[in-house]
Amino acid sequence: MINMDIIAKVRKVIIWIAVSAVAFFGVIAVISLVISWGVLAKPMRYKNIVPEIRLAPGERKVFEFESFCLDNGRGSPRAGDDYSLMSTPAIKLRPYLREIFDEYLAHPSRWKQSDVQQAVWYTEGRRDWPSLSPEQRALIKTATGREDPVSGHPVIFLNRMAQTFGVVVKTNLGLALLVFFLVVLTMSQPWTTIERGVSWTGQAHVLQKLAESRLGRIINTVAESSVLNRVHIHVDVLFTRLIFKVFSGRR
Amino acid sequence: MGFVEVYKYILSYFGIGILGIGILLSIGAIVPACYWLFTCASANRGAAVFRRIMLALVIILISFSYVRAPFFYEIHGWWKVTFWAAFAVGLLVPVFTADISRAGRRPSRGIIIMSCLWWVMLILSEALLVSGMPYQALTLYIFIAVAGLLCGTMIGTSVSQTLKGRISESKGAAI
Repeated sequence: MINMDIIAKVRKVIIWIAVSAVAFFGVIAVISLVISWGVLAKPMRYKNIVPEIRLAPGERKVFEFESFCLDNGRGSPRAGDDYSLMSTPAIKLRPYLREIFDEYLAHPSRWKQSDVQQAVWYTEGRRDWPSLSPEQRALIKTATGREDPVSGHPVIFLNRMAQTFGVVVKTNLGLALLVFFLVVLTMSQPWTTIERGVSWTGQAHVLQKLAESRLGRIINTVAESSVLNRVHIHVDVLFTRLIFKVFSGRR
Repeated sequence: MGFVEVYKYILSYFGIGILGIGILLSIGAIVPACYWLFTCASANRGAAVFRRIMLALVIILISFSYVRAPFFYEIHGWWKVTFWAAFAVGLLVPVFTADISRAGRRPSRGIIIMSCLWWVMLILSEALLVSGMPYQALTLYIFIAVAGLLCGTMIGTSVSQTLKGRISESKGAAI
């Protein structure tokens, strides 16, 4: 039997989440609009110099490209790796990257490729301003109109932190969540195991409340469910039959 | 700054906050996760086969997703071969020693030791990554080899226990 109360509650939660998200992003959009009011976007100059690539059906052209590494932290490509032309979100997401490429493409004879590469890594937050050569600093200053523009920039800070800690957070939380479900689905007394795992926090009364809460009851119901018990038995029987079949056949 | 730049600028402060909460949560969650992992690995009662298969799947999922991170691109050459070779070793050793292992020995001892080692290698690799050492081929190959051994040993121990049960039944019937 379907419980209509749950559907109504879920609908209510979804509506509240949607309204809150719209309000949150809307307020930030309004603030951004007020702050940036009257500021014109800097026009990109490279479009006047670099020709657009257009290919007719069946046409073949050969171009020579200079390429740049966007992520200093990633490993180098291996021999035999394929390259393809594609747009990258880094151009839109990473501050000052578009300006540096625009400056280089607009004045290719003025800047060296190695200096542009260092400037690209600088926009990633991997190079400090004092460690750059005078030519590299001049390139960044000409492109962005500021000295050391990356310093204290929250977008670059977040990008750098997310790159380093993102993998760790994803792995640890993923492991905790999966092992939690494993305890619920496979242990005979899951709540006792869960409780012991978090007892180091010293919050015995919180755990007691949690055990008596709806979450605690759901965990116990799942652990004691006859369907789950049948799945356990079926997997056990199937595994045993498979082993007997394999080892009987080899005699 | 234009509208998009200001929008990203403001949103990134919230992003930093959310990431900070995520880091704290992940530090807090890894301790109970460790206890739950060891408890699941060492339990012999109840649905042991089901539990070990599920635990092996969890270990494979976490290990593969970790090693596939863009930071570790350079080690990608042989890590899958290493995993499956270690898995085969882990699977075959308990099976071929099923008839010579001591009667009083706890069957899950090897699993517990290897799950400890897997967890330690994971934490060590994460610590190295956070401290700015993305090129850690040796650590990752040891980690993936231990993951393979652990998964193989869990399945191998289940096979060996099933076989032992069969041998005991046969002996009982013969008497």
